[in-house]
Formats: sequence, C-alpha cells, structure tokens
Amino acid sequence: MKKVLLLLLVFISTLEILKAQVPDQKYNFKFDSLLTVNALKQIEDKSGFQIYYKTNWLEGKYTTADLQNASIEQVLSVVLTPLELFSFIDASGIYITSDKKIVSKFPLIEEAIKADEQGVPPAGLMFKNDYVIKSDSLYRGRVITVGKQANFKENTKSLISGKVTDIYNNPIKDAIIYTKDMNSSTTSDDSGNFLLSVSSGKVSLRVQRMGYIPVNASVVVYSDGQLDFVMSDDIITLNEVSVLGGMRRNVSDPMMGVNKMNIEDVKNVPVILGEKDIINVATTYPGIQKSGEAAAGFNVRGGKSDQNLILYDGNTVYNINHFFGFFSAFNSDLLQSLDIYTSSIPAEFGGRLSSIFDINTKTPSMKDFNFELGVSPITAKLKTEIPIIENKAGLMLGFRATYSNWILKRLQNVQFNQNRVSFSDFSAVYAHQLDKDNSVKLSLYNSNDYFNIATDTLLNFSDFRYQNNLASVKWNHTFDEYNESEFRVGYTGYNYQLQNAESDVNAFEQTYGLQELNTKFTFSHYYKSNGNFKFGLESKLYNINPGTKTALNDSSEVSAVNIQSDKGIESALFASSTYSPVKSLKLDLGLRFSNFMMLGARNVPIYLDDALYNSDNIIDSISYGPNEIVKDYWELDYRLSLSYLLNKKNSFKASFNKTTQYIHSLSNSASLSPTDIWVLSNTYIKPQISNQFAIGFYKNLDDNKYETSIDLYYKFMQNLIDFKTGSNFILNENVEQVVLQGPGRSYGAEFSIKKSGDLNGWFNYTYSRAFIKLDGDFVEETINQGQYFRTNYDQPHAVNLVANYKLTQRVSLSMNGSYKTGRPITYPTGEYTYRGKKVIHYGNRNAFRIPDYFRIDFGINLEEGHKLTKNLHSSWSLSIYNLLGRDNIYSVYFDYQNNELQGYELSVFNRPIPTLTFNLRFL
Amino acid sequence: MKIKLLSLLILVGVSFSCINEFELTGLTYDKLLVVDGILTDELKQHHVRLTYTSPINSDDENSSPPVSGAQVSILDSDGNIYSYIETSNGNYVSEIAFRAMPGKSYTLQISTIDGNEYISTETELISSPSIGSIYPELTFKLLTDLNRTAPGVQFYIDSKPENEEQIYFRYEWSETFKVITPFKSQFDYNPQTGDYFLRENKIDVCYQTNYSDEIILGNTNSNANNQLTEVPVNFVALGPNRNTSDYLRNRYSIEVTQYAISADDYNYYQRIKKLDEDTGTLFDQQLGSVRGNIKSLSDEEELVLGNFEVAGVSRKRAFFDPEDYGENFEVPDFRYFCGIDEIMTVSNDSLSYYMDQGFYRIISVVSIPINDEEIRLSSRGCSDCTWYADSEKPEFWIDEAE
Repeated sequence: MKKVLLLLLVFISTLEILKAQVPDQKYNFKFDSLLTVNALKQIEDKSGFQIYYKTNWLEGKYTTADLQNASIEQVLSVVLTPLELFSFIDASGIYITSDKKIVSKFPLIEEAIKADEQGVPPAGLMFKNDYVIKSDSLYRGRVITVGKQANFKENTKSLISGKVTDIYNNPIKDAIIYTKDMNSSTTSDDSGNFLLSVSSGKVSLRVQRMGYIPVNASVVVYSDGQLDFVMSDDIITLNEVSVLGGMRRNVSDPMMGVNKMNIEDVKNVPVILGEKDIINVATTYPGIQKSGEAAAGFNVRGGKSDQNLILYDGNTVYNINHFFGFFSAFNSDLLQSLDIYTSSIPAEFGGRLSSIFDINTKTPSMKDFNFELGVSPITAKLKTEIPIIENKAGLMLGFRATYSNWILKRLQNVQFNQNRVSFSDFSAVYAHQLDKDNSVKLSLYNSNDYFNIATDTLLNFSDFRYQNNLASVKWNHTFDEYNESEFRVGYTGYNYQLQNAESDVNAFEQTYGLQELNTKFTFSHYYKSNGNFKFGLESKLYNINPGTKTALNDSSEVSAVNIQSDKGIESALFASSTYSPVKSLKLDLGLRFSNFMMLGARNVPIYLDDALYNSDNIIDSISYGPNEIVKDYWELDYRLSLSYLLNKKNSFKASFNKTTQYIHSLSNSASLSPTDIWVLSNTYIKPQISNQFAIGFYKNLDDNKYETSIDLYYKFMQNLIDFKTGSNFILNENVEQVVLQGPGRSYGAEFSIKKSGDLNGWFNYTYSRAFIKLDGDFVEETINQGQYFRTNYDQPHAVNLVANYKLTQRVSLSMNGSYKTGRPITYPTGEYTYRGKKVIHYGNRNAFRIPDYFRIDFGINLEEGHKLTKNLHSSWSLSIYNLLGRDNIYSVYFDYQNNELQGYELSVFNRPIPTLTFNLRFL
Repeated sequence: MKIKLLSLLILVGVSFSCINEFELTGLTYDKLLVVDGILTDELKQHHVRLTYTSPINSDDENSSPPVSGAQVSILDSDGNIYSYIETSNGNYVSEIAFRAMPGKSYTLQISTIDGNEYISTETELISSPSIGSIYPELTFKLLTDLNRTAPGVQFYIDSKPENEEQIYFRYEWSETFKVITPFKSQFDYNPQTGDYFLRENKIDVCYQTNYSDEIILGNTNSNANNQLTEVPVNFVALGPNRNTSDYLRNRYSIEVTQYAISADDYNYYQRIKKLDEDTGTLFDQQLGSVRGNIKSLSDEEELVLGNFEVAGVSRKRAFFDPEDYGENFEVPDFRYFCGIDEIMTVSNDSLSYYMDQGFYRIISVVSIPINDEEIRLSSRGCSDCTWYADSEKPEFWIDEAE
C-alpha cells in the first residue's frame, strides 16, 4: 500500500515533464496463445520501456493478438483490457494497475483539445447516433457527434436527450448538464434522463454531480439526438480535481422545502447502534423533528406524525420502524436516494398533509457482481448485486437481521433471558432494460418484527409481531426525445398481531391488517426549451381490518370480536408543468384533483341530530351493500411554486400548496405507538386538509460552495384528528365516538447553510410552532376551553449541525449536533379522592414543557483501501452517540410515592454509546 | 408498569435508560368541584361526598377542602325525591335508609351555597348477580415497583350474570387474616408501679384488615359465554422484601364486593385507570382531565370531576388456609425474625429499665429457688400484634372446622 502511495507522489511531481516524453512510435506484434508475462517481455524489449506489474495478476493468463502499426497505448490496451488491467505510460516506464486506473488528465479534456486542433470532423463519415461518453473513456480519439450530419442547419437549436449513469449503470439524478458558455442547462431526473436544448454546431458540455468526477465533452451537434454520460466516482486522479459546486439548482428551482438525500453522501453521519439510518439523518434537515430517540414518528413543519407519506419504490410504508422506533426499517445499503418534500409537493404525490418521503432503491448492476457485508453489535446485513444479462438485467438482494436473541439468551438475569426480540428485513430489486425505450423494475420488500416479553413489561401483551410487505412493478417507456411514460402497479400490506396468554381462559389474539393496491400512470413531456409538462392518474384501493380478537386456545373463553372492515378507493388526476415565461422567472404549477369513496359493505350508525356521538344517541343504522358508496369526498389540491432569479446566485421563491389526507392514524400517545391503527375517512371522520403558504430567499456563496436559504411558512389546517382523554380506539366499532377533529395552524422559519468540499455538512435553525383547536358543541368535545393550544409536538427552536471532514483518502471524521426545545406535556393541577382512591387531575393540555434536548455524536470512518487480495474492501466505523452523555428527558410522568405525588423523568440514552461496525465490500 | 423502558433496552443488550425523580415546582391549581357519590340497592343511608380538588401535595391535613352547605337530593324515575343532610363537612347522608330498585333510574341533584346547580345523568340500577366462586392460584406476577416478577397468590372470582343487562362490573375487596405472634406474652406490666401480673387480654392473636385501593373492572363482553371468568381481584405477593409476605401464614379471608354498573360508569373508571397506569412508557397516554356524569346547569363550560354511580351490589366472603394454595406453597415466615436468641432474660431489678421504653413484652417468668425470678422478654414485634392489628375477632370470622 505504501509503495503505491509513494509511486503516486512521484507521478504527481514529475507528471508534466513526463507527459511530453511519451514517444509516438508504431509497433507490430503477433502473440499466439503466448503467456502474457512473455508477451509483456516482448513489448519491453521492442519498446525499450520497463514494465512494472505484479506477477500474480498474470499467472496462468495467455494473450492472443495480431497488431500492425499500433501505438504503444493500443498494444497495451489489447493485451491488458481482457485481463481487466490498466496501464500508465511515462518515460520511466509502464505501470500496470489492477483495479484502479491511473489518469494524468481527463481523457475528455484531451479529446476536446484534439477536437479543437482538428476543427470540424472530416465530412462524409457516418457516425452512430448514440455514443456513450465516459470519464474513463475507451473511445479515445473519437469525435463525439450528436444527431445526423445530413440534418445539420446552422443557427438552429437542437435537443440533446440522454441519460446520466454511474459506472454500474445506476441512473444519476440531479446531475447538472450545461454548456460552458452557461447559455443552457438542465438537470437529470430520477431515472437519470435529461433533455437539453443547445445551439447546433460545436458545443462544450460539462456534466457535474456531487460525489462524481465532472465530465467535459466537446460535442458536435448536427441535429436532435441522444448522448449518454457515464460518471465515475472511482478513479485516482493525479491532477487536482476542483469540483466546481455548480449546483445552482437550489437557487433556480422553483420548488421549496425540498431535500434530496444521496444515500452515499450521508454514509459518514454518526450512527446509533451501528445502523446507518436515513430517517435519523432526515431529522437533521430543517423542519423535520423527532420528539426523542425512541420516538417512532417525526413531525414536519408542525404536522402530526401520521401526515408523512413514506414511499419505498412508490409503495406506501405504514410502519417505518424496527423495534419501536430505535431503527428505521430500511437497509440503507440498497437505497439510492431519499427525496423529501416538505413545502412544495409535486402534484404527482398526494394523500398526506405534511410531507412526502420518496425512497428509491438502487438499480442493480448489470455488469459486475458485488456484495457488501456489515456487522454491528445488533445486526448483520448483506447486500449483493448480480448481473443476470450483461447490460440488460440485474438483480439486487439485501437482507438484514438482528441476532439480539443470541445476546439475550446469554444474559445472566433470569428475567430477561426469557425475553425474545427479533427483526429482519429483506429486499429484492430486479431491473431489466428491455430495449432502448423500455425498462422494467420489480421491487419486493418485507420486514418482520417480533417481541416476546414478560406481559406488562412493555404493554399489556406478551407476544407482538408486525410485518410490512411491499411489491411493485414499474415500466418506463420512452416515446421519443420529448415524451416518456411510467406505469406502476403496487401492493402494500401492513399487519400486526398481539397475544395475551397470561391466563389460559382469557388468552386471546388480536390482529390489525391493512392492504393497499395501487396503480399510477405518469406521462412526461419535455419542452424543446427547458421545462416539462406531466400528467397522470393514481388510484389506491384500501382494505382494512380495523381489529379482530379471537380465543388463543381451546380452553380460552374469550369471545370473538370482528370490527367491520374499512374499504375505500382514493383516486387522483394530476397535472403539472415547469416552465419559465421570462428568463429569470421559473414556475412550477400543479393541480391534483382527488376523490375518496368509502365503500360497503358497511353498517353506519345514525346519531340523534345535534347530539353527542355516543352509544346512547344512536337512533338507527344504515346498511350499505358490498361496494356501495357509503360516503365520498372531492378535493382540488393546488401546488404552485415560483422562483425569481435576482441574479445567478440569488433568488426569491414563493409557493402555495394544498394537500388532502383521507387515511388517518389513530394514536393517543405522544409519539406513534405499535398498536396504532390506520382508519379511512368515513361518514363521520372528515378528510384532513392543509393550505401552506411559503416564501424563501436562496443564496449561494463562494463559487457555490455554500448554499444558504431562508424559508418562512404558514399553514392552515382543517379537521386535524385528536382524541378524548383516556379513550380507547382499538376494537372500537365506532371510533367517531372518541375522535375529535378541529382546525390547526402552524408557522415557522427555516434557516439553512450547506457546504461542500473536504469539510462538508450542513447547519440549520428552525423556528416552528404548531397549534390545534378542539372546540366541539359539547363539553366532552372541548379541550382547553376551546382555545387554540400547542400540540404535543410543538418544539419552537431546533438547531442541527452535521459536519464531515475528510482527513485523508481513507480517514474521515464526522460529528452531529442537535438541539431542540422540549416538547409540551400536561401537568397535574390538583388532586382528589374518589372511591377511596387518590386521583390526579391534569390541567390544560400541553401547558408545560420537558427540558430542552441537546446531543452531540461523533464518528470516525476508516477505509482500508484496496487490499492486495483482489477486489475486497473493508472499512471500520466507530461512532459515539451522545458524546457528552447528556441526560435528555424523553418523557415525564407522575405517581404517588408514600401518599405524596412525585414527578419522574425518563431518559433513554443518558450516557455515551460507542458502536463499532465492520463492513466488507466485494466489487 | 412504570419502569417498562428499562426492560426494553436490556432487550438490546444495552441498559442505558434511567428514571429520575424531580421536584414538582411551578404547579398551578385548578379548584374544581368533585362529586363522590354512590347509590346501591342495599337498604341503608347512602352517602355523597362533595369536595374541591386540593393543590398537589398540599400540607393541609384535610387534603380535600369540603363543600359545605349544599343541598343534595336524589330523584328517581317515579318522581320520588330523597333528601340528604350534611352530617359533617362535605359529607351528605340520605335522611332515610332506602334501597335503589332494579329497573328504576336515579339522578343526583346538587345546589351549592353560592347558587350553582349540578345534575348527574340519569342512571338505571342494574342488580348484581351473586358471585360464583373465589379461588386462589399460586403464580407469578410482574410487580412494577420491583420491575420483576415475584411469586404470590392471585385470588380470582368467577361470576355468572343472571340477565343480559348485567355486563359491566367493578370490584372492591377487603382482606382479613389472622396474625399469631411467635411468642406469647403471659404477663402484663404496669409502668407506674413496675409490677408485672398475669395478662388478662390476649395480644398474640390478632386480625389485620386491608382494603383494595385499585380500580378493578370486569365485563362479560369479552367472554364467549358472557360470563366473568378468572377476574383477578387481589394478588398477595410472597417472598422477601414484600410487606404482604406473611399475610397467608395463617387463616385468611377475603370479601369481594361486586358492583353491577352502567356502561358510562365503566367507561369512566377505565379512563381513570388508564391515566393512572399507562404512564412511564415509551408510548405514554395523552394526559388530561377525566369527566364523569355530573354537569353544571349554571355554567355549561364548568368542569366537574367525580361521578355518581348507581350500582347493584353483591358480596361474597371466602376463607383460606395455607394448605389451600397447593403443595408448592411454602408457609411464609413471620414478618419479623423471632429466633430463640431474641429472648432476653433479665432479673427483676433491671425490669423497669427495659420495660419503660415500651419495646418489650414479658413472655414468661421462671421462678428459681433462693427466692429470685428470671424474667424472659421478647421484642414487641415478636409477641404483640395489637400495635398493627386488631385483637378483637371480627364478627364474620369463622375459625377452621376442627
């Protein structure tokens, strides 16, 4: 390893001199099944170059070739390429490398220089219509053209369409493609596709994306045509690469409150218990808050935790947690990106009030087999990518499981070694490029959680399990350069079962189940001038079993309970367009027209007019037949965003978004709880509606190295869901009797700085407030005298800092700091005796707060680099969660101790928790 | 129930959670009317107690400020009015003894001295079926104050409703058990004179009584046969460090009172119970006030706490002896260690030195020749149960058939 480094240093210092000394001689060679070692000897002899290599690379390798009048590069290429070896030539000799290619300059730059020297390419040559430009190009010396030469007209505009991928053929989204004169630019979409309008003729293009080496290309554009780019992140460059953080996208894009997480970018953020967790990283973004370490849900811009739509390859995930929220249920090794929309929500998404979390898996490699193995104190995980048909089809499998049962069995304490807890998740992705215009992606996902704990330790049951099952097929079709479509069909299942076997005669099992069948069609049209128009249709069929209770065994006398099932269809038509009427103004306009129908069979109770919804006031009931419409709702959502570019570095943005939610989670705990149930809007439970206004100022500094922004927002909400105190909605046939609905409002400001470079990361401060008003017609339906009061997730001040520092190529340091105002809680305001028992009276809801939250995490990542044993890479990461060991209060409760009411503070991780994780990668 | 989180984290091999007490400061006080009333089908003078809420941990001895001078009455569905009179501060008793009748509905009416009027919702009396059986089982139960399971005897009841109105039940129990001290004090002592004499009263056999302080509920809805089966009433924990450990050492009696209550009352108790118990977990309940069935006629917004319960009552008492708990039951030790070396022998002239402090009792007196006496003393705990139990045999007590 040291030798290699030394070698590189030598290269760097002598490069420019050496460059000029490579002779331009031609050679003739004929190898007939000759040992490659011997072939290289012959080359050494003829050329006079000394060749350096490791003999074990060439053991048992033979070369057959017949070369006439070839340059030394061509000769080496023919000999080494089949062996997947690379060469680097300078006056001191020829260096052969195995898995890394040594490049002195970007080949494309040289290409561009060559093209400049040669001027317009020789006429009459027929070029293939589509070329691939690679940063480690194998097409040296070729001239890149787009379109047909015959169609060339001067002073016209041509449209380049194409796709940006990485070397494993994964699409790279949000890559910026622009002409060097900055006259036109665009970004690649989720599938890596882009469309760029340029002046016909000779064009200098540049492609950039954080984490990848920029690609420069001199291109001759004859007419409309296709041009794909492959970007490399795995190359040793001898010249310094200055990444011009030209991500002006954040300034120019009219969308607000958008956070695009590249999973690779966040892999160094410190982790808890060894799990790289995208949801935890997301909670360091402005406006996204988690109320405590174990809290299962998170709140976005003053929204309740069930108002976030989590999509995994387009399928809704209803429970994103493993182990009650300590881990998220996603194995980040398989993930490509997470896009979070908190303010401007594209019209193609809907169904939740606060945010969309769009998680996409990687496209499996269709070229090279690879696997990754990770071991942490709690889990072991495995990921592998298997090419099925080269460049056509690939499969990716991922599996993660805990082995904590193994730990538990070894615990000496009798009480705990009988407890069982396990979770696992499995994911499979199959991608097939059918032809140039059609591709299919199949995605399967399953997660399982199981606990068996002493009854009453945690909840009133001893045995609890839940599962997520997702399946989807997506078909992408490209009509031509301007038009493409996507069609997907998916299934989501979420179920839980709990058992109580404390007493044989009262032993029971209780279940909940939700099934969602969904389909979505999107058609996208790209304008010749930059911009696009999208429209489509989405539909979801829900089938919910709100609860059953059955006897667990023969001796049990528990009576069966079956709550009538919820069935409903949520459909939406959507259309959106991005365009700029004038150069400095960009608009993103969307409409989403949605409909929800609750379907039979169903019995709906009718309550006395102007009376409280309770069992005594039921006067009748209406029975609806199967698939008969019980109740329907229509809503038109507006999604309007604009950006006004003050100059290249500054912009002003504004947006107005309306969202509607027809499915609600019923939870009467502060955070999500495992027994929460999702129910559909019905005759009595109205859809939740939110209107959000936002304005923002975006500014990039220091050559786009810093991205800063300030967002202000105000939200009006209707029909937010809450509960009567102490109510029970599990196995409750008429939940409307315990549900309260009322208006809400939230507002806030978000200030954010992001920095790129060796020291990179982000800092943000969020001010956010969230209020709700529950003022029913009856005292029973009124909370806090019917006045607006703060919700239990109202945490005004939040500060996050995430910093990564790349110390060397192999060692990086990271830290994460987070501060939040404590969440509101309800305090006792009096006590009384009733039936001989002391009872606490709690006053106004959420009048007090728990102490503020503050935590710092620290992490070190150590890459072992490429080992001599071919292709195996290992890395270690050490993270320390809660470095300062601060006692952050999670919740507060009250209890009598010797007849005196005592307050108790409960904290979860009140000391530093170090975790060591080992990862092994085979590429 | 309170320390659930600790176990949760040990599940992952990490025990990092922690619970700390903190001082309750800055509390505000809501002064609200509390109604604690119950009307049953027993022929007696019924009680209603009216108080205000008291500030949290107020030092005031009389922690619930009484509401005096109110007019309290009960109206039945036939239009009869039963008036109550205030016997002591805040305690109201019906003028006459009467019983509520099954099928009839009752409403509590209150008007306070400051002119506010309150009324309960009309509640029908449901008679209570007789309790089928009370039976013990030696088992383990998670004790929340210990955060681990402990052995003990769980007493269950079975009950079979007689009509379909009888769905919701509330239970109270009282336990009485015999305490027999290891040593028997034969002599009494007069501190004034310093003399001892043969004891006239018995202080080595007593009867201790405790009452339930938990809300115990049962319903027939969840049972396929619409019965109440294995409703857990009282759990007597055994083992060291439990103050209940010697309750089952001698004969033990438990009386269970079953109240047949309305759905609304059941709901009310469930809410109170939930707020009391389901806290201190990761998934805490939203805390808040629990409203009963009393409302103000003068001010609709006024929050009135407490409840007026109308219930049919049935009772059953059962007796158990240590052999009734099964062959695995080990008769627990007496609550104090009383080995033979706890007996102290003193001479007559130093008797007052020990006896005047009140911590000793004279067990026996041994006369030795040469005109002297040895007096054997034992600690109060080993020979006198009257300081924590009652030496008088309760009326209901039935000794074992001999």
